[in-house]
Amino acid sequence: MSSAVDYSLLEQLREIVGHDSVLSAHSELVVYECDGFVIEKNCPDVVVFPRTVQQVSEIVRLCNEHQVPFLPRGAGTSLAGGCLPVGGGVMIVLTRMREILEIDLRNRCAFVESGVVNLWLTKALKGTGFHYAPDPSSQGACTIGGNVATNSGGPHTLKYGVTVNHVLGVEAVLADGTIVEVGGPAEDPTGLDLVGALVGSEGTLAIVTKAWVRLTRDPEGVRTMLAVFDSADAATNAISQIIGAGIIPAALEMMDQGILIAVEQAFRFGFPLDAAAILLIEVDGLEAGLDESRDRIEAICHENEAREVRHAQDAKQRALLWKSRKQAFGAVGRLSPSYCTQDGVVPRTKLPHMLRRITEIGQAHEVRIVNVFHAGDGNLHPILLFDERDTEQIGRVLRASEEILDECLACGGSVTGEHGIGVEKIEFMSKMFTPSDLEAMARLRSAFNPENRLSPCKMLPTAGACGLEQVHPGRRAAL
Amino acid sequence: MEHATLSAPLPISENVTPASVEEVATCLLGAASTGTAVYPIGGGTSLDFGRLPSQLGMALQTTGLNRIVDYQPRDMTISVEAGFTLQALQQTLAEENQRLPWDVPFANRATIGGILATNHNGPRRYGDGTVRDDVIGIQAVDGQGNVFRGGGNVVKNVAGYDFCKLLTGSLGTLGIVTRVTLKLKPCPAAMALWTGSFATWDDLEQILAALVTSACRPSAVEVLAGPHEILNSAWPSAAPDALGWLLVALEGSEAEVDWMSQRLEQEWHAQPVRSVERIADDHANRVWQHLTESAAPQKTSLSLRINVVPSATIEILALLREIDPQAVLQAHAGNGIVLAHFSEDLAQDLPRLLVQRIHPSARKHRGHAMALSGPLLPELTRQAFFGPPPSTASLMAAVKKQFDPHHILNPGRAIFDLE
Repeated sequence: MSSAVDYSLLEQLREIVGHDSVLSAHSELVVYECDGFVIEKNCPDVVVFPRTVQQVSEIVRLCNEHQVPFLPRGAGTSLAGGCLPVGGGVMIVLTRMREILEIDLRNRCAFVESGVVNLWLTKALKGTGFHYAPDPSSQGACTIGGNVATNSGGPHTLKYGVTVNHVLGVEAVLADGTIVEVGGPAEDPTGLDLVGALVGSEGTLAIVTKAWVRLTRDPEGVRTMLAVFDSADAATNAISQIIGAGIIPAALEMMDQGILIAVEQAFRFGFPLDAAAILLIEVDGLEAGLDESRDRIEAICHENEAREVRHAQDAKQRALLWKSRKQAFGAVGRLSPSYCTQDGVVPRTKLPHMLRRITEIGQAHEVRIVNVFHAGDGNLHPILLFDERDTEQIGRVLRASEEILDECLACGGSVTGEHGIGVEKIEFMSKMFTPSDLEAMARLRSAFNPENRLSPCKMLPTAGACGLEQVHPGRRAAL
Repeated sequence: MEHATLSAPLPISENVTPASVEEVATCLLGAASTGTAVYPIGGGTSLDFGRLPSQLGMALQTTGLNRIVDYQPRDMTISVEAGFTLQALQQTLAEENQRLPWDVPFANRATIGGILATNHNGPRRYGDGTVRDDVIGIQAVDGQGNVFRGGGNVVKNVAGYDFCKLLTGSLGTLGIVTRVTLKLKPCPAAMALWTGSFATWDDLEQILAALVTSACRPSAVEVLAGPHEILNSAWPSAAPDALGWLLVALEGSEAEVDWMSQRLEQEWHAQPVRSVERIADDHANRVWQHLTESAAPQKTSLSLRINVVPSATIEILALLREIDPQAVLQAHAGNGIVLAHFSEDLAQDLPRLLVQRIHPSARKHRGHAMALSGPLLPELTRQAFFGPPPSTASLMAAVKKQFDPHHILNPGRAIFDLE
């Protein structure tokens, strides 16, 4: 326990949330030492589980009185260390704020607490004709609050947009403990778009406790197909040609041979193991237009030398296809003891070039890389395979990751499409943005979080100036 | 200027028209050092937006920033300088069968930067979202002459804080937008515009509620009430005793639009919609233009915008109609946005009615009202103009202070700018 978190703070926290909602034993705290980014770890000094926004506010005020850092956490599925408790302090876990407070179909919105799991909302809406569009692969575990913090995407965001396009407003606790409502169920809230600033701020501006989210009509129909290619170039050319033809599929995902083998072993879908790449393509919307879109896509795939185009025959086949895609990361365990996923973005027309470069970079560093990604958005997820017990391998993986992301930037892209900066990619911020850009971001943070006590040392490279000890200096580069 | 003009001229002592972001930065650095107020101006089509300022200052015309920086049709993105007009941009995009689904009055003069600053959204917001959804990269100059950017050139990007959102609708109070990168959409192959009238507000709510779960997926759901000029000319067969008219736009492939048209007609047959008609294509363009242009200032006492939860649209329409039977009313009814142009007869009572009835009603339905334009503007108190400030006003002011510490960017205009 750091000296700042003393017995009196612990006692006061217990008074706020009750004894059963405070963890302080090391054996319990290790669960919270990292999120899905496992390279850097640090235990919080205390973990608290508030049930109400008032409790969150009181906890935050207490942390300020005691001058200890604090940060929010949802399910901890984030992939960039956004909920790594740098410098220890108090971790505020929102998973006990788990009520779906209101579903208002007439006004196409729902009001939910931050700890509601993404999939719970999907299930609650089943049969209503509406759904909540953002569908990250971790949707069975991740929370809406976490989705808001990271501006989560998912396969279907190609057509429907990412989280920020679906959040109308939030209730949040500011860094000084003030409770605010930002935006709300009516569109175009007055003044500055603080909702837009909060979504994707990775918990560094405020702690979101509730959200009004936009509900989307279920599509009347859907066509899901699988196009098999003998070369990755052909597959990526097909992708930019489909988008360029003015078709916006609901989802357009690519898996290369390396990942296909693992996925096939895990799910036995019947993927051709000798294919260089497959595209998983889904169009949805009115039945009246679907066959036409499907046929146009199929024709484009054939023009680009697709070996075959298969169609999901029923809902069961479609579900299995999506299960294979969404759990692809889980199947990677069959290929290697450890892996790290990158999250670069390039303009879609640069995909053929980028995939070739990823292969070359992997070869140069003797790192095996497999690919499964949101191709329609140009959002790549190369997966670098290694064994974390071998420090020499880790070094090579780090260098390869860095080169991949540098290449994304050289192509006019971004170092993160949906995972966030967190602690993982802090050092890339100064490659992507000028000092003046970063200064503007630091000023925005100062307006919300002047003491920088809320989730310090995240997102901005200047965060190092917060004076907190870094956990593994030198290792936060790329992985 | 065409049509109605400013309620009162901006207090301008000098004009500058920088031709590059560097020149904008130099202007702002100079203005910051002397504490000179700066009023950014694009096409000058929305200068009434926000409270009328009092401080004498410099007009910074963005029309010198008028280049397309980079257009990548196959990536469906474009980078363009802020002073480029919407019409010129749409013409460029149309050559590639692409578009921005933006409906903005005076598109021949309205600039991309101005549209962003005022967050102007028209009928198609129902199906295509709002301006902020299409901005993927932004460059601006803050109140100290610092050039800063957010976002980038790719359609999916979560690196850093989202200045694309923060600056959209900020009315130039945090920075002057100099360049934006936009996400484009394919032009739909077909469009149909359907109309029908309704006799009571309750009937209207029944129809609107049904549209939320309609088999069709409209791109616009509009309501018109009151003496719109278009009703005398382009309307197919306007029923004279109707309380108002609904307009639903359907867009998509030929097959989709045909199918939706059939379905909508069937659905409306079972609902209290009268005089159902698909507006013929030659009229449809004029009607659509009216739906877009009627957001512009009118020759009336005051124009007002009210946003509420969509289900409360009829209560707001009913209230406004009761207050002023001659008010020209338009609602982006699917989104709960109501535009009202009040008649000149009402000028004397409006300030009081705003404070006592309109703002409280908007608030009750989770939204707010804001005066847009009209000769009455200078006479409105802050309270009558904006209604009560949001609970986040001090936070907004704190953000403003970080980006414009000398308080020179559009001073006194925004709701959070308590000067």
